[in-house]
Amino acid sequence: MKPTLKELLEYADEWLKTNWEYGRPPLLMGITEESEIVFIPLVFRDYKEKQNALINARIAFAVFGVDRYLSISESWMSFAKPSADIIPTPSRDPNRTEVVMALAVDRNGTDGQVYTISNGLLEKMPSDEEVSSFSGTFTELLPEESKRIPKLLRDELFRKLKHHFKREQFKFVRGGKNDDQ
Amino acid sequence: MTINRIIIRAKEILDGAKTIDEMIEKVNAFAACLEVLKSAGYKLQDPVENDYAYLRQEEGQ
Repeated sequence: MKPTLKELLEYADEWLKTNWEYGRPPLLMGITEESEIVFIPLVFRDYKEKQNALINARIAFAVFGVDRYLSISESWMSFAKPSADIIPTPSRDPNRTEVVMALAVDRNGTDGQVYTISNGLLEKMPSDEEVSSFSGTFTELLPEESKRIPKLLRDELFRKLKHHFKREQFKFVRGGKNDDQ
Repeated sequence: MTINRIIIRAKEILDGAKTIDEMIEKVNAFAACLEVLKSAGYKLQDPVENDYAYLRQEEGQ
């Protein structure tokens, strides 16, 4: 049985308790249509490398048939009072705050949990702080429903793209086995 | 420079379809595969002829 978005966020909570540290690369964990788990490490040093890593993540999700995933990454967040007319865009907000964001995504939507960073420690943001939206590139990695690829074709595609992933030094672990082997 | 080449053929993509809807699904799935290859930087080397599409991907693309 596949985990629900809520269960993926519970996993994120447990994972963060033992794994979180400043500057750690984002965690990206996909669940495939066949209920396999795919871990995709995202390592990047600048914007260009980040975009490239995300393109490869989208390719990997399509090739493995991922239909839900969990991402955990450091992010910026803007705070505003409920009465505020405009909620500032974090990238343009001088008062933005660095947070850790866990996002669970499937084709029906996104659920998330925000962790504020206080004295180097994570604090789960209370649920009474309403988040206006969980959006951004980390919520847009699934192929559209109409672009799902059947397993047989996916396997063939993976064989064709194996050297591409190798060249990009893009390794993933599927069901405990390193696919680079 | 490393160049990767693959061959794509389309002649059997509708095989197994029992309805027009299934044919549409298969065509869409094939198109989705081409989109993935395009995202990975593959380009069509020459016009497709006799159902043979030669795709190439150059390092750094």
